[in-house]
Amino acid sequence: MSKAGVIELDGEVVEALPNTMFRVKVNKGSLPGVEEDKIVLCHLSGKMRIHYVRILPGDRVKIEMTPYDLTKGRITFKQR
Amino acid sequence: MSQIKTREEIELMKVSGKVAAKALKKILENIKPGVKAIELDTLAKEVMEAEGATASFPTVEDYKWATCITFNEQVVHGIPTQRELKDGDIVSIDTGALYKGYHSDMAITFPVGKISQETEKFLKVGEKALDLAISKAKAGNTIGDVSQALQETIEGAGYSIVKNLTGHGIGTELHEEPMVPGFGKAGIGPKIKEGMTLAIEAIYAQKSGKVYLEDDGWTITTQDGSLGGLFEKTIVVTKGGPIVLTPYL
Repeated sequence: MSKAGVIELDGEVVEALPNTMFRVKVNKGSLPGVEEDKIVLCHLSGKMRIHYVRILPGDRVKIEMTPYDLTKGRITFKQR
Repeated sequence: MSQIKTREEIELMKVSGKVAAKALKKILENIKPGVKAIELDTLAKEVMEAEGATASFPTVEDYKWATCITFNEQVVHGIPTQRELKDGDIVSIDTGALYKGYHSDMAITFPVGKISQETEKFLKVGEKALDLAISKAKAGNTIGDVSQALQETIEGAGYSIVKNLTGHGIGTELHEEPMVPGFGKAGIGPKIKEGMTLAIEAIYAQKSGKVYLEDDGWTITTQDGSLGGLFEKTIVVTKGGPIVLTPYL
């Protein structure tokens, strides 16, 4: 039985940092082996920068991650 | 649940692997048009219990079956239902045993009756990718070496890796660290060490690797309806290289 890897997950922006970096909170359970809510450092995807999508703390976003580094991600979508 | 297993633990995992291999063999012998998926599941359960083991997958929350059986465009985690096998289908059988606290996990995608040459090639590539990936699981290499072998073989043949799903460490739990993705670059990721036990999986699709979750809450299926393939074996990393614990009998 294969394991659900980490490619895409939902999170909530908790803090906007300089250089279009953000801290995003992902809920427990969505990251394998992580039993509590976790903060992931994220940058904005190129497409979102081109279209000047504004991201503010409190926004629900979709982030992409690689299984090789569970501390970083990229924001690919802003939920409305 | 240490990632490095002791000699005693590996011995138990060997038994567990053998039981799973026997159960899978029994299922493959009974694959023919008209058979229901749930009947194959019962066969697996019977073999495991006769060997003094139980099925591993019921340890996954809310999953009650000994196998995952998926048809054609379905990729993984199909619940064995009343659905009948038809001539020309391909079915993936995924199963694992639990013996004295130790898990094993393996899968194969198998033709029912006659399939097209194109589909035959699709299945061959997956098996080849898995064999190559297993040969890279040597102490000193990294998970990235294994992942790259999977990705290059699958994508080199014109198919896609299903990136949402990964192989995994295995032992006293069915899913342990590290994750073993089907994509990556040689040299990256965690180091592979002697005594590690891994379930390496080639999870791929004929066209796009994008998948969705069906309404049953388990079955994962390709978005474009192209075929899904799944080949998996549990291995242990030894001084002399990787040893397969769940061979295709």
